[in-house]
Amino acid sequence: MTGFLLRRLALALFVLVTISVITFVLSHVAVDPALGVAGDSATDEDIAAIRAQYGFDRPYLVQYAAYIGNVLSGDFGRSYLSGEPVIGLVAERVPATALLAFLSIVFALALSVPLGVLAALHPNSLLDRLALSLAVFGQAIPNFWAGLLLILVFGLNLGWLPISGSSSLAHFVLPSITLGTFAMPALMRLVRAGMIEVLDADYIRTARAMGLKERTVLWKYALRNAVLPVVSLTAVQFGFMLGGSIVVESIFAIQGIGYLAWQSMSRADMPVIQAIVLLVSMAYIVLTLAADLLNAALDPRLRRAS
Amino acid sequence: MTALLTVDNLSVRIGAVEAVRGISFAIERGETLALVGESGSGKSMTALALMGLLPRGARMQADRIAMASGAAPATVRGDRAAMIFQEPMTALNPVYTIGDQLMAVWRRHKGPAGARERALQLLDRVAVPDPVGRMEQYPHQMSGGQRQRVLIAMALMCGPDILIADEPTTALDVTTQLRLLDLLAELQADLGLGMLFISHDLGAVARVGHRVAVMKDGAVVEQGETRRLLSAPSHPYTRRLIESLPKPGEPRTITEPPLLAARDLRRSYRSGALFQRRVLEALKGVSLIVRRGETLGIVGESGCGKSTLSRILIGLDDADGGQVTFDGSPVETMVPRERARRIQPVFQDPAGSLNPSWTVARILDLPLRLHTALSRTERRARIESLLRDVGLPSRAANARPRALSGGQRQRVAIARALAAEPELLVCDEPTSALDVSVQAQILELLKRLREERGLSMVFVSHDLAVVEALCDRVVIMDAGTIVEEGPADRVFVAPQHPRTKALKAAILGIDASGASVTAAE
Repeated sequence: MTGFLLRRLALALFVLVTISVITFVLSHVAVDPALGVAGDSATDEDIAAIRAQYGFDRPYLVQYAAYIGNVLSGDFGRSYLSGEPVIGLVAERVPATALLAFLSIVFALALSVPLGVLAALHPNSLLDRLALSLAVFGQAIPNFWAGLLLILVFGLNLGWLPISGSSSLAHFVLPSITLGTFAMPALMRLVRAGMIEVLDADYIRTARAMGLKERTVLWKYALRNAVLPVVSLTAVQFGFMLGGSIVVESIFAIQGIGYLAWQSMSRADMPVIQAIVLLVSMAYIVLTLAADLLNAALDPRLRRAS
Repeated sequence: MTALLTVDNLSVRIGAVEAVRGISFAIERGETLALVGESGSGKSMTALALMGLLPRGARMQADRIAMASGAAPATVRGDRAAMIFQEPMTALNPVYTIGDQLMAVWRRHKGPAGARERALQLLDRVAVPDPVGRMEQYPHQMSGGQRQRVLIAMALMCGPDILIADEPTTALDVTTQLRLLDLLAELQADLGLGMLFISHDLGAVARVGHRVAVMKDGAVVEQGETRRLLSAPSHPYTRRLIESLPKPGEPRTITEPPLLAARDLRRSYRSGALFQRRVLEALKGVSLIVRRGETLGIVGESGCGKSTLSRILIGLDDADGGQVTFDGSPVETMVPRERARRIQPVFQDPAGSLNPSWTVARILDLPLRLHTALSRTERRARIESLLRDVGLPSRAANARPRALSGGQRQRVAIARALAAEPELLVCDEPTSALDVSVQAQILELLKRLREERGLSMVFVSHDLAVVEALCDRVVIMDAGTIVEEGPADRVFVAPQHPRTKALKAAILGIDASGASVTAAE
């Protein structure tokens, strides 16, 4: 197990270094960062002064080393736009996006696992076709439209839920449903395919021959074998959501990472973008590692190497 | 006294197919009824129907299926009626420990108390070493034979009256098979079980069955006391089954120069994760020759290295050390296509080794296009004659593999191998997936073809009886080395090495009185 963890950590480090190099090249080599800091109205002298002040005239390697040194000490620089430290800007946006992503994944799983299992139990039945239609629907409806529809029905007409802001848990219900609806279909299809395969397995026949309750056979013996790929996909989707959904955050006026990323990108606020990219990469690494550890806990055969 | 299990007029339909046609039988306490038949005869469907485990889309009908208590076995499965299956490798849930799976059965039927004690007691009873340690292990940490023992223990957890065993030893090595058959027979007698033992293997049936019912096309064609039925079968089908058992052939002594020679072949595989590399030595220096026109048998149990060896001979794998020479020159100096033309393979599973979306004609056309300069019309004529040679009608050319039976598919695979007019055929378990009657036909076909074409053959098998029927000379492999070799008749009549003796002793036969015999008895 330690060997496995060490290898994964080495891989994570490699990925992070690569990403930091790419973002550094994009922000410092491909464009002139001094232009971004100076703003549109700056003169050539201003730009030259900024270049000297920020050290943009030093060799790239030195700049990269300085950048990494700062990042390691928690200093991601300051926003070109507001002049505030990037770390604070990003940190205050993380909770909203993390909560939204978490609730969306919970919603997606709560729907996809039972539906997938039921569909697998009666393949090609009416229920299966309904679940499939739901999946196609969920995948096909654009986020912005689903969000607006939910706002119209549950926010404006029925008045059940708040539609704008992130000040209470209730504010997250409609956005989570919107985002979760998009993640649900792929998960459901994977649960269904996995269960159909597993239910056909010899060990399920054995369990039935031993007279175990159908409930035990399904939810204990079969599901644990069928969810292994689902765990991996959930991690990827969760990581994707942690990058923030620009559309959903905009519609529901949630001050999250997605919104911040969009703002920063439209104004070339490089330090903020860099920080977000690194953060999301890190989230991916942690999540996929967690998924692998969870899978190893679920399936003893994956622990064989340890 | 009412029978332990009574079945009256049971039928099973799957779609338009009548898989089981109104069969009736009874099993008394302490009696084993063996249901014997070839694939598709309906014997497994019968067992699944009794246990209420028929696949989706199957419909069953019966006047009466009842145990002595009046209950249907399907309603008391796992408790009063239990069943074990053919595939021990996949029949246990991979993500739960042996102990969990055993105890779950007890808890389901007998309540929470005493599950662990019962599981330990039964693991010990089925002779699994170190029961306490095994309880914590997962299925993948055990061998096939051990897993089948665990399944037997699981079936016996609640002390059933009836045990249904569906081909329980078919997937196992011959020596393991013999030990498990004897274990089953012993448990059955000690516990007074009524057992329904399902098998295609007459030797196994003779070993454990008190009575035999022979099934063909969904019906029981003959039923009776084992010895009487096997020594004096009245139904022609039963007679044919018995005659299909492989009989010793007449090994030829061939003095031609060697066609193929392997010297000191070594092959090892690495497995496991970084830092924890394990090295498996599949071949530890194997040398052999095959003379022109000779049939060499390579025999051993799973994991002995025989498949690795055959893959190297065909050119699908490379040895780490040693050398293979063919017709005097090292194989690595041969053009790969030339090597493929002169050495052709026949694999175990014809269903998997033929492209399912191609017609037979296209399957046979490919080697002709690769290895000959024949025109389209000439190739078509050659395909016709190939089909004739392997005993298939010419209309088979337009069929796809799925439309053919297992035996017909293996004939196509042999025709494909012959298309390039090779000098050496390397057959890896070519009859293991086939019924005995089909196996007998394929063995006859191979014998005829080698006479007609002067073919040399390497015949790899775990089944000593099949090798004995066909081969001139044999080598016995164990743990990556050749432990014995010699003329087929000498090796079988007077085996020297303990490994050969064990293999020989595990061949299940029937003597003239219908009694089970092994070569050792």
